[in-house]
Amino acid sequence: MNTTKRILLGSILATLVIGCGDDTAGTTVPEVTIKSFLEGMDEVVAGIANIDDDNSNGKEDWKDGGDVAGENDLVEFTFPAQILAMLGDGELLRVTLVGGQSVRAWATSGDLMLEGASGLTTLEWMSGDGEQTLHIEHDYFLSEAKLKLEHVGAAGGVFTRRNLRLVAGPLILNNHLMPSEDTWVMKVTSWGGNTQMIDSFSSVLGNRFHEISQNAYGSDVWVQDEIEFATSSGPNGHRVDVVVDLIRDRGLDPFPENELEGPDMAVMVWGSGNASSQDSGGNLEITPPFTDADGIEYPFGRIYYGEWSYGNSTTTMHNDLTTFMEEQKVQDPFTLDTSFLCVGHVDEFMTFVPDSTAPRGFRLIMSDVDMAYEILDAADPNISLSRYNSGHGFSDVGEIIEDNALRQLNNEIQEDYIDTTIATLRSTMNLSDEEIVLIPALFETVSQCYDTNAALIPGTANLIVGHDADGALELFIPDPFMRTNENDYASDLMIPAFEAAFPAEANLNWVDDWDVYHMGLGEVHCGTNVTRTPTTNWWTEALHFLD
Amino acid sequence: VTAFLLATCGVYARNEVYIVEFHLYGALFQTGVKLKRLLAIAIFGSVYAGIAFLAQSSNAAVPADSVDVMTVEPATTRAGFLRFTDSTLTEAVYAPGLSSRLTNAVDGPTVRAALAELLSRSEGEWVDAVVYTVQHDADPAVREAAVVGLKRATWSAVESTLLAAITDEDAGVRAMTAMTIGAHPEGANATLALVSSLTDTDSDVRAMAARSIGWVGAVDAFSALPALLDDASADVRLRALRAMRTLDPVATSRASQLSSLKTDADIRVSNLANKINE
Repeated sequence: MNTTKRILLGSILATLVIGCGDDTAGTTVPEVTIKSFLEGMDEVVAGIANIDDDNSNGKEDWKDGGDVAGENDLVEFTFPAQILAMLGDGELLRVTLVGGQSVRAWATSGDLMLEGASGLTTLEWMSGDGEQTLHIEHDYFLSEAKLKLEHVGAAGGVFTRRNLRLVAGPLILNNHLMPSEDTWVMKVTSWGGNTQMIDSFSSVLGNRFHEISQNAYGSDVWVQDEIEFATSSGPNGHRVDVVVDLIRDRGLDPFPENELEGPDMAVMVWGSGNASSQDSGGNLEITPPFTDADGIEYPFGRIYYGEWSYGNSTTTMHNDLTTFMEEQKVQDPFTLDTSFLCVGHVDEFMTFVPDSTAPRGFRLIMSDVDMAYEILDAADPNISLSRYNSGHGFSDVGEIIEDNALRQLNNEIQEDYIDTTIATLRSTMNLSDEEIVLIPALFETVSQCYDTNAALIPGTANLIVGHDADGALELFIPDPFMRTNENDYASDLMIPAFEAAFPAEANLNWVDDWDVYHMGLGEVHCGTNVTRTPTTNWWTEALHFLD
Repeated sequence: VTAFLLATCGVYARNEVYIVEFHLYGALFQTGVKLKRLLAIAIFGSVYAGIAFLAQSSNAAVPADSVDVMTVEPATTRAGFLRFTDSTLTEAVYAPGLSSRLTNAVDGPTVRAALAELLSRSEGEWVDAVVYTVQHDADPAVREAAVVGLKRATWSAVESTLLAAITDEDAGVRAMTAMTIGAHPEGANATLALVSSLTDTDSDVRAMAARSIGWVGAVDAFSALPALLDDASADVRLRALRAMRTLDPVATSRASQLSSLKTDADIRVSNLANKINE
């Protein structure tokens, strides 16, 4: 068996050495030493769900049933020979697996040692058995069993007992404070194309940027919506990445299986049947880590997703997925009302960006209608706007600010939804004013979508947080094109406000997403997806959710 | 008496689009009519086809990288419906072809709806085609998409169409028409129609009409709104209350329903009611 996980027992062995020297009666008291050893063990033995396909045989590894060649998702649990050597004649260390239907243990030889489903629930180790190693395997996220360790005397009595928890890591959705790794965008030649967008990502991210074939995946440009990346991690830096394959299932449906699935990358689906627009990755986002007003720490942030209410009915993500996310405990999901949006995704009007100068290392970027009108009302109304003319029927600034209905619509959106969302986030995340950054935004009603809306000014909050090879923060932001000369960024009416809003440490990359994405009711974030590096250990930082 | 039919056919190309026109002429004449009458009819038909051809060919210059407007396909939006996103399609030169494609119902309803939306952003002549679509398209979803674009047309060009569409048999069309009237700079001219729609059987229509009354600033219609504060639909209550606040904040703050609306089950309604009272 090729295992990689090892529970470090150095501190425990140190305790053992001290214990061996404590021999006041002139004789060794092995049960005390073994007891101190057992009591010094961490209660939680962290593992990971073995849900990927390391041996590329087309099956989830847990289902291989003993074929663990090439396996790297088992946690190594070692019991030192020095401890076992302290067992007296007839004494033994009994190891019992309790509740192990979804947890099993292998010997280094590859023999199955413990498995509840097979009735293999007990091992007995004696003095002279040498170092014993178990390779713990879990079938799913948060699967848990008890490992009972007992020092048993020659007469059968139990001198001491220690119960350990064998726990697989939860599935943790990535947040924007995690460093980015790989980034994907579909290269498009239709509908005006996205050459500038591709070039922007490629030049900054280099070989960590990947193009998706338009022809192979039905010109489905909405890469953010088909999948959501998550990770499940264990000790010693090991991890399994998980593609949460949403049930949206448009052209990109086979993309994760074709291009991503394999060793250390699993593709999993929750739910089935007809999808709504809410069943999209762009509607599934995660706050940065924070502590709420009640002092509850969320070291992995909290999941948030949009709900679309109409009359007495509410549409949101598939119940199987929302239930699963709740069951993972550590990122307790909450919802936001996105009923005013045609697409209905949370990424259309807000996001979080890292900022080392912020009190908690991040700031909320929130769309603000009033700010947009303040800028436009102060501008020369004769500034012509070629993009807005073809895209929205506004030939200059004057036509926008003089559109009374548009202004009233946006005031309604601000009052009914944006202000409410800010209030929700303030209370949920204990956000301070300093942590909230407003950016100018306007929305307009979209034909074919009842009276719901989409971004009029390209939804700048709908951005990608990335990092270059050197770890520098890179923001890929929809170009607002609120200017006459498209090549003159300095003349843009909105860009100065954005530059003031975003963290000084970030490199701002303005992306032309107008034709393919903006006019298709999305922006940069909607057409992109990113893997990220886990930086926090759940087994040390999030146990308060798992008790 | 003998019936006579003459058919002529014209084929021409524009923007790499081949357009075939058929003209049918009928005549009723008595036996013994001379052949020259038939020839006259034939000549008339041919001249007509020729004029039609020249008229189509005399439009603005076609760009070198022109788009085949009869076959260009819309993109699938993030929301799932179709939309023409390429900005070049809004150039004036493409409007006639797109209009023809829309009014001739060459495509299915989802594409026609996208065409209507695209045309309303066109820099060319588009109003007639979209008006025709609102009036005649068989699919209500297409009429619904088309009517929204009429907010960008002159009032005189669309007034009668909007006043008819607000009584369309389809509730979605009626609701979008009420909304479009509110979004039109001269929508106040249709205040009476909006007031009538406040009693529509469909709550969406009532909500849109109430909102539009506020948007167009129809102060005279204020008295028709308080009754909607008791509507079963939260959207109707919200839109009516907001319109009242817009039209007469003082009178709105005295509305008898305000106290109950402060605890409305819909947070938007309760928030607004509490703001009005502040």
